[in-house]
Amino acid sequence: MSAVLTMSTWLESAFVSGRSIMQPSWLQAFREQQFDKFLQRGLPTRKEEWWKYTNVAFLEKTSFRLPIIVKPKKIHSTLDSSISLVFINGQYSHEMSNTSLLPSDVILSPLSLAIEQHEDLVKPYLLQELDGKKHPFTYLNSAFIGEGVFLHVPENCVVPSPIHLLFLNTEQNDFITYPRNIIVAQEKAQVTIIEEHTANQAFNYFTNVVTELHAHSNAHLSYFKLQNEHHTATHIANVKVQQQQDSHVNTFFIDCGSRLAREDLTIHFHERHAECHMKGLYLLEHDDQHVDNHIFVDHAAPHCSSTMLYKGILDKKSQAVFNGKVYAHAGAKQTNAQQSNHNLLLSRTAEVNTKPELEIYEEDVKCVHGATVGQLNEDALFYLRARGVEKEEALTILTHAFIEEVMHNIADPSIRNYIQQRVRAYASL
Amino acid sequence: MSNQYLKQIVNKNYQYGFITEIESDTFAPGLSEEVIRKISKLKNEPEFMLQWRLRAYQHWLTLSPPEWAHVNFPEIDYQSIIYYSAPRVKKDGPKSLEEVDPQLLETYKKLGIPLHEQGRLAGVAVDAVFDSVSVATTFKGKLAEAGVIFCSFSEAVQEHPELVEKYLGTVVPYRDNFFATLNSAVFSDGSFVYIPKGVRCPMELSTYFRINAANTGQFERTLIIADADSHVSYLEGCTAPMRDENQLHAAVVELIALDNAEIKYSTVQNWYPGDEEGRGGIYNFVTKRGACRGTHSKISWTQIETGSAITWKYPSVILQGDHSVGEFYSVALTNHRQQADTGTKMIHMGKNTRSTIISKGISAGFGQNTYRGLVRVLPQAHNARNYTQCESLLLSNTCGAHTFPYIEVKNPTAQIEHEAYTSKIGADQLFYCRQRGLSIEDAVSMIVNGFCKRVFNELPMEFAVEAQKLLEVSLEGSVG
Amino acid sequence: MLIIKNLHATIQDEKQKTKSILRGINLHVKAGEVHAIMGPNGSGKSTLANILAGREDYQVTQGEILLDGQNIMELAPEARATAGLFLAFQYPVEIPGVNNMYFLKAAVNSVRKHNQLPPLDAMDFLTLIKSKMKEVGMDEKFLSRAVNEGFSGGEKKRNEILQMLMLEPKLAILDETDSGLDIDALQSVAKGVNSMRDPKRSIVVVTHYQRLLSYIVPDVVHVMVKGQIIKSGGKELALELEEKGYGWLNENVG
Repeated sequence: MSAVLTMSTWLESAFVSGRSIMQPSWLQAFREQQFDKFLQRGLPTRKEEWWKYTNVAFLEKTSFRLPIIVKPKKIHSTLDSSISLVFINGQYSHEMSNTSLLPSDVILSPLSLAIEQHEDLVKPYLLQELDGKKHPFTYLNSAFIGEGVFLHVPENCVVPSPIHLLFLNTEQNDFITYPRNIIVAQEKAQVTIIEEHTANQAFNYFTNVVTELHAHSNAHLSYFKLQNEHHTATHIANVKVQQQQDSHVNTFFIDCGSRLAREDLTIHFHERHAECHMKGLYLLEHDDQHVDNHIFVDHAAPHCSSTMLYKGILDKKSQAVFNGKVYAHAGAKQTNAQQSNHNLLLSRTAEVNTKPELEIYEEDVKCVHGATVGQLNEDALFYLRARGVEKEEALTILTHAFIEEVMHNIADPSIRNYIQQRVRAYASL
Repeated sequence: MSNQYLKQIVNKNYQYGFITEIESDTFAPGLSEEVIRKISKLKNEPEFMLQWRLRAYQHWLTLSPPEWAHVNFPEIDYQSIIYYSAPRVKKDGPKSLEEVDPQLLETYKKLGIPLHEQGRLAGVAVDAVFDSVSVATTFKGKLAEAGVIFCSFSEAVQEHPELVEKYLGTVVPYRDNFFATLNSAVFSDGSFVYIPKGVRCPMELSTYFRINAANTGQFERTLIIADADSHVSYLEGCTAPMRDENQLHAAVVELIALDNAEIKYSTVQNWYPGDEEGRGGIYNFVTKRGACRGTHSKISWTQIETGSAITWKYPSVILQGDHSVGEFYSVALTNHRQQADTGTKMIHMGKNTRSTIISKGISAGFGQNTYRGLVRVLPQAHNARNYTQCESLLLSNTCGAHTFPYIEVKNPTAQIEHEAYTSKIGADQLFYCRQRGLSIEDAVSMIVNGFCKRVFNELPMEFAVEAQKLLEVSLEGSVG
Repeated sequence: MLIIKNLHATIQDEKQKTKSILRGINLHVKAGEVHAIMGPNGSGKSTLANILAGREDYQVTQGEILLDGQNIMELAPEARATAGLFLAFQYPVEIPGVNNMYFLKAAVNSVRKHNQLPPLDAMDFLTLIKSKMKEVGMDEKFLSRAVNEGFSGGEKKRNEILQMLMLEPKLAILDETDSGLDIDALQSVAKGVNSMRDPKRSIVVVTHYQRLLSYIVPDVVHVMVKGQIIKSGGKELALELEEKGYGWLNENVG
């Protein structure tokens, strides 16, 4: 516990100084309570199964500042999106954001503003108990709740183009942000969200983000998470998806940045006939870069199906962790779950730890999982070179071939383009 | 649906649940340094054995039982267990089969393992372990001609102390884990095999373990050394009486394969599983590990696990030698309240090492069946290959089937493939069989046996049929 | 041999909605006759075949099925099979690890037991099955393979016919047996079926296309649309359907 105290010292003072009289009392009480819970729980250790391969002990010895407000003249977004909310070092930037194309009955606003204007709507979502025991960084996020997004898409509403949430970290070092996003798609609503984390001239910072997605019955929700933080940064995220009857959710995670990135994704099927398709791509290229994807699919209702396809390519002395767990409760009849994880190792010092798990308490299920680890097919490489393709180009072609399966079915051209750019940048190293 | 018909099938009883009335030398319950000294003295062990046991005991006192397995059971009181029980013998022990207590011969006959050198198992040499000691070993003469040493562990300590000292604890060190450490301190007997250089063991070797006495723990230890260019196939079977109390079985098996040597180790585990309500049964907490020390060596584990209240075992292979091969073939069945957490570890260290894992889990009743496996490729293990296939079949709505595979790769030339599949018995398959006139019981049994075929194929012929029958018996009354 | 009276059946779809698929089927197949049931996709003809064999995925809401005068509605699938009803499946399922010969021997002896005959011993069985395999043009290597595992479409169908020849049913129902067959396979399958024609045996051929009926010539042809038999006639009806398709009949359906 003494180790946690070191961390709690700077946290404590940050917490006290961050108290705001502007916030409603219920929120203050909630934050106090979450802070206490974090202090009691402490940082996870590698002795815990859920954190076996990811060491966060260094955080005990690192202190982070609260960010200062900066106003960059312009930002280079890699995505051209017509609807966007921009956050710079955790602060909402009204000037940079653009919501003109938004249907009028959709609420899309910074969380702080939403708490002011739609308190009754936001409060129940915000106060939902998340799994802090397993993922204590969620307690920390709740305690410090920073700025973030509240998105509410009403019944039957179709948002015509993707909503881009850009979290830019810039012109500062050693700071911590706690973005909190709440996204609600009501019955039969349809929306695509892109959550992008990126950096420009910022080092050694720490993003601790929590995103909650609620897909009500028959809603269609697509969620893209683009993590391209600076390679000295720490990025710890918890994404929770709640699905009601006949809802349909797609998630896509691409992790290129950070020194340490941890992505937790949990899908809860609360009602029957919900569907979720999860995809992920991690492209690691730095020594000591570590990306950990932990996915938990909770089949608590019958007739739900989930598919999971994650692929990773690792170079230098990087490490990847994949842990996908499908849990089928007794009574979750006709559960259909697939998961697969494939890894390519490009260097002798890269390391993969993968663990696709099944925990099944219902007879009437079909659950399949698979995992592979290997290197690029030498024969294919040789074949291409024998046909006159340069080695670098051949590698690029094969790398693209490896990830093509993940790219499949991404309809939005700007997202597709973005991902292809990342892949091209990676493959041309 | 069709399952309703299945409920009607009457449950067959555990066939090996009888108790042999025999006079025994039995220690008082409890564990202390004194008890360990007594065991060692009784066995007339050299000093190195006693010191090794005591080191293990001291270390054990610092450990607590593991809690990570997917099993539930009340805490075990290690002071209430009897650590030594042996049928009383008149003199120093039987010199030949003729001198073995007829009661014991009768017991093994009832178990289907006749301890004479003719008849059904004429091609198999048997070491029979009854509670804490080995009571007979057959075919010693014939094996000695080939230079093969096959005897009880106690005898090996007396006759071949140099081999024991050289290899004991080199694969499973006494500090390995809670149960292995306990075993190291108190183990009383087991089997010992040494196959000399260039020898292909002329017959199947087998050990038959029988727990008889009440409240005793069974702690045997098996050590098999296959010297360069040798080959051996070894099989163990296990049964125990039906008792309402749980009994602890904490064994250790160490295998060592030198250059070009091959060890095939098969287990048909049928310890008493407890009754339908989960009363009684054996806690089977076993550490089994093989080391492929030599180049081109091979260790293959095959296990049919149908018994025990709780099974906790991971027969593993450390692939040290270049080009060495590790295999694990497993059928684990849990019915009623049985729990199994079993699998393997394949540790790739040498170059061009290969491993194969085929695991078939069947859960019925309230059974909980877990596959837990680790495939680890170390940085120096170039061109390592692993193929893993885990399939689980669920036969009831109250059971569970779980798969926890760990894959850790630190070398880019590795090729690791893992696939797993969990489902209930196919409704289409069942209907197809029934449309051809087969009863549900026959259809289920046929489909389940088909499911396990790949593993049964790995068993020595003498035991493959046995395993199939065992599965049928264990499954009766399970579907519904 | 087979009498179906006013048979109604429903199925629950994935969303637990009840769907009616058979809506009052009446059929009378006499001993020695071959009947063909034709109809467009989704008309319920395969469902009918499966319900006759006792598949439990459907709910029979009304009606009766008599086999040789015995009401078989309450019988389990295996009891219907031992009573002499055989279904050649449209998609024979693969059963990994179960030896094809072992399976068929168990089936044959189960039926023999029901008929109070002693089980066939291994030698007799082998002699018999080898001669039957020749009839349907199947290689003996399929005996040692697992049931249908890795068989091509044609091999699976031949295997079905082999099983029928071995089990010698009173009533054989062939569910889309011609689908996916090349002309060689089709001919040997038809040859197998024709060798089964017998005054004491009835055969019901369920098919979408007329093609098979050129080889297995039916006595009666029924047309099934939307869960009802809307027209019956002689073998020439099949040719008429081939020519005109099913569209012209739809007007007749209420």
